[in-house]
Amino acid sequence: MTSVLRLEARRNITPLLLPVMALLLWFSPYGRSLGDLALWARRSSALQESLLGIAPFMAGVAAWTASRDGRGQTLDLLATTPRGSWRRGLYGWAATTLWGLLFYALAAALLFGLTAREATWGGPSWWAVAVGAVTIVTFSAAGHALGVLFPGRFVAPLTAVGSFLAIVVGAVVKTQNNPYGLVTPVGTSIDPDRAMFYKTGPAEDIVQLLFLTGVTAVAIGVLALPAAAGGRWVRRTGTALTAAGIATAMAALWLAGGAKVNVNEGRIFIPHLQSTPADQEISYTPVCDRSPIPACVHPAYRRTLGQVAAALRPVTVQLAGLPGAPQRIDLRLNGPSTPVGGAPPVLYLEPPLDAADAGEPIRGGDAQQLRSFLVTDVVTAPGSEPTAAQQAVMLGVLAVAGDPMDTAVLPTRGEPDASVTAAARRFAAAPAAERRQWLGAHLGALRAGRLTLKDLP
Amino acid sequence: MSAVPPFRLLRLHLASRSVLPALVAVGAFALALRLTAHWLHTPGAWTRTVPLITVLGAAAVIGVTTWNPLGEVEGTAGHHLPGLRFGTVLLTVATAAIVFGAAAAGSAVPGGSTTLLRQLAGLTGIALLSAALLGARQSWTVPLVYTLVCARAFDLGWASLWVWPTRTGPDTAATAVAAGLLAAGLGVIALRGPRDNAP
Repeated sequence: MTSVLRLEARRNITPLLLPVMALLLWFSPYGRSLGDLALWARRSSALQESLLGIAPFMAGVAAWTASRDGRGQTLDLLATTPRGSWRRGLYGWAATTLWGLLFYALAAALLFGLTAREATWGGPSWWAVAVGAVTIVTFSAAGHALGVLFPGRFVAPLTAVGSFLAIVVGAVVKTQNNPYGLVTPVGTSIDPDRAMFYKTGPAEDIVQLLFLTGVTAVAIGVLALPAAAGGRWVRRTGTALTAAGIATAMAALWLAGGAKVNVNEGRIFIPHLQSTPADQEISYTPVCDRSPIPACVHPAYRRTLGQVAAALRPVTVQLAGLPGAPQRIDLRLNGPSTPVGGAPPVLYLEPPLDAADAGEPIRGGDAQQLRSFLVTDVVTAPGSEPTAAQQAVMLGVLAVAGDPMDTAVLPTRGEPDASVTAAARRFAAAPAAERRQWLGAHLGALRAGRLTLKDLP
Repeated sequence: MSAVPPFRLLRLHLASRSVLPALVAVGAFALALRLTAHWLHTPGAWTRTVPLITVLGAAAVIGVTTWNPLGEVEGTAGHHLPGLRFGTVLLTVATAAIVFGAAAAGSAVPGGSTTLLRQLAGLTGIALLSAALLGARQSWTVPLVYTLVCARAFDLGWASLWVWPTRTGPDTAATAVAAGLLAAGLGVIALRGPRDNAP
């Protein structure tokens, strides 16, 4: 058996396509993720997304291999051998699948090896790896079945392009919040950034694994049903595989059909696999710097902490120690809506995830926005429109921090009038000690909206 | 030895290239486009990729039709072969264009018929050139790889001429590239035929 498999592996055309598949891997999210911040969730997701380039080729190659005997018109000759056509064909399928799995394993090992050196929190998603491996097995099995059943000149291209189309249409369906799209292994519905803060669980992966396993069983099983496939036991095995495969795939579709998908928010809820649709936060110990008001980030974003703290420092040095000012700034996704709360008071800010994920420095507009949100949350009450005095102080503090007197990032409707800008300039021009003394005495009243422009220094 | 009547010669040539099954396959991809069109109204990389894959299917099939089951013997049978090869490919491309034009008419296919037909022409050209370089049976691999790269280009917002299928609407440069590829593919296949005739 091993010698036949070795022979098939040597004759297989997959090794010729491995450089092409490596090139496609580089163009896929896999290649791009290597330049981004090393987050396990994002890298695991990128590995799974790379299947878009691998799976159609595996299906096409499997169809090509399976149709080889038909194309070579050697079927009659092979019918005289002791083994039935089903068992004979399985060696070719196994060889194709093993080459694909070997390529995938090497790609996963390289990606995870590099990630392990750089990542500062978490671990790989083995569920995503399993989905990838089973996807290769499934597309290879489907290609093998089509190659055996329709061994014509068109079977390889039609299988490869048809597989590609099936994957992409599944992803399109998924992006339109249709739950049946969840069985597609690419176009993940879960936001990898969100997966750093909230438990996502393997529900989507389980549905995909069930569906793919079912399709694999049907593809291999139907080939054992004809009389020429083998003896009685082969046909019985084929019947059992086909029945079990249909049942498993239907179960996966049933599980997916009950799901609630919200691709825009990057969340799904599968009632039969998950107990509650409510977000379950992941418990973690944030890492903080030693700024006057320490800035804290998720440990996965530890590499960005210095940049975040540097971006906030021009404002935190002005506000540190003031009554009502926060004693810690926690950057987390969807933090509590009350900006400054708790004992000691903590201010929650949304982290600049886009820049962090892309490995870009947090400066310019991103840094200015962080400072703006910080000042706004300290100076204004939550949910209220800033008063003229609050706007002037916000603009003044930001001007001292080196930002342009730009109201675009402030939560105001329209441009503030000239008197606000003039008051802001006056506030910024005041000596630092005078500003700090005034803020210490009036921050509470300013925050409550009881001050006017005339009350400013 | 009497000459074969022209119509019969053409019919036999079309049969040897499995043109009828090829046109059925092209029709199936056009039907797939029509059936999925109602999901394609939302802008996005995935929705823009679907029409490109359907024309890739047609182009891949057209590339494989160039395979010659008779081997080298066919080349000794007369001097009509370049014309027959040219006519066969032209017939399948023209039929595919009509079928895809009809499938895209009145639907929400991103880019509309113009973009779709340009993609069909260009990818068919790549498939024909691949048939001349790699062999007819392997000709689908290069357009598939190129389409996978273009699918990624949709996602990243690339609009370079290297990925001309990502350009939508009237675009002279992209049209010139697609037309050039089709003309080159047609010319090479008509004059030289596919590279090999391995089973």
